[in-house]
Amino acid sequence: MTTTEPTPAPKRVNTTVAQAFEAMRVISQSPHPLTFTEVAERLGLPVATAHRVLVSLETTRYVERLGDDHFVAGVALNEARDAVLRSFPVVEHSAEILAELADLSGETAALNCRLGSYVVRADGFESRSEMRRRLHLGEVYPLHLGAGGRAILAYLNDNEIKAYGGADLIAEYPTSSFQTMRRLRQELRRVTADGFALDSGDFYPAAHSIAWPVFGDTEGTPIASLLIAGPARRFEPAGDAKLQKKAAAAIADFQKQLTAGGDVPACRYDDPDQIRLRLAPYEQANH
Amino acid sequence: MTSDFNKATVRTLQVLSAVVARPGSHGVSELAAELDMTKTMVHRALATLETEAFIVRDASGSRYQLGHGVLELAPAEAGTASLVDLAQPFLHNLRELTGETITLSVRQDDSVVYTASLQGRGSVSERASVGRVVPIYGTIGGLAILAFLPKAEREDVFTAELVPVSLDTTTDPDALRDRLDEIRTSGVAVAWARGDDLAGFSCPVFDRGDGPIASVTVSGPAERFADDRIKDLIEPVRDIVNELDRKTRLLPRRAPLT
Repeated sequence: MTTTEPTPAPKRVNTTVAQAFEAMRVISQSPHPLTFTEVAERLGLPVATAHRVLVSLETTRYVERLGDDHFVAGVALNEARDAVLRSFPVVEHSAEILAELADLSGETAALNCRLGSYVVRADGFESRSEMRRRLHLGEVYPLHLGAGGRAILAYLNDNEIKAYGGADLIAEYPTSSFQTMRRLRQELRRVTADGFALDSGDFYPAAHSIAWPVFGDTEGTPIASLLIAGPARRFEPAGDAKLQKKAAAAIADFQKQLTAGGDVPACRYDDPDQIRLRLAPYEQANH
Repeated sequence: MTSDFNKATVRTLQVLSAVVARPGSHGVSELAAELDMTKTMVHRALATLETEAFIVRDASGSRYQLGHGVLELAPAEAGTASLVDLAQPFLHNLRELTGETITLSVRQDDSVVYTASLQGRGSVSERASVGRVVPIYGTIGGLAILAFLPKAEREDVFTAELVPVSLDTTTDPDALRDRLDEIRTSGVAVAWARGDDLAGFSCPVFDRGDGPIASVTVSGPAERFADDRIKDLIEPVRDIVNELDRKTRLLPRRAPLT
């Protein structure tokens, strides 16, 4: 049995640039704007030092000031994140299928790209309805969380699924439905039997979703998933055979065209399975 | 206080921004030339960015690309700002700059809705009217959007009779096509002062899919908007609208019409 790595201790921040990176992280992951004092506290720095750090970040647009002294993520930071989303190879092929899925369902359609043990919300179309599931581009979650991730996880080979269990992400990111590897494996078997993954409020209580895998080659290597999500009140994909059939047909066409031009890798990075991200804490109840 | 910012930090982030600006991989010499830095400075910046995986090497090992570390910076409230939320500070800046009525018009199928409006400061000024809905060809707020729609969607407008909405509405189809071409070239829709009606100009903003989703209009009484004043205002107004556009270009697309 492999030993699991403990969550890495926070890095010692002892250079000015490292302080700036940490300030960016803290500000961008905070649900509300932060003051000089709050940033200084979280970084363990004197306020004067925090001031210099924040001015450097403001000058380069990586943070933005609201009013006199509250800071939020700046446009340069958001553009950097957006550029990473666009760098997943499958993104440039997906606009049409996403529009089609949004159209035939009337709901929000999203492209989730695999990044090792994670899934990244890389593109999509929001529903035109007044009440809709927000797209939340740029969100990153471990593969077992949500239909978009499970539609990918289910199609990994047995060793990869075993390794995923060993990485302890299930314990780090618990959900009410999948607390053990055993329970998760049951669900993954159901996904491969049906050809799609479902989420009926486990990931986000007020929304339901359905997701299909996207393969990057003819051998069945999953690189992404296509997902439709809507408010629980009106969207019940589990029982909607018509939607399932129509979407599957559209995706099958897309899949054929995608690999006709050659294999499509999941991402542009070497060894993505080694990637461990320090994400903002996930709290299911508050999501 | 000595310099308010840290040079090394600023340089490092400038290198990151340069890599963000162009997709694909980047070499050290290219970056040094582009940013007017020495290769040593660029190397140092890249090494620092590599520690957080903001930058990673590509398959060749000697060129650099944007890395996955940036994904850790995803804000908790990613993408929840609405167009109106984003636009507010810019509308206020524009009113400070011009003193005139500023209107945000948002596309809604073949109409535009006056979604936000700030009253001009003059004792005679155009009324700020939120909630008004007009056909997309009817006023400059709509034309600024219509001109940048894909051709098929533009042509939809001509399938029905063009009805005058204001004195500035172009109702002749050929004249309207010419006007739209001109707007695409200049990037701004202008209503030149004619008689004693309103005048002004409008600039579009775009979403993540390069679709024109809204426009920002500066307008007021014709007597304050002589051709010269319009010409003088266009560039400074455009600079401010471009800053808003930088943000709206991160907004997700909405599903197209069936």
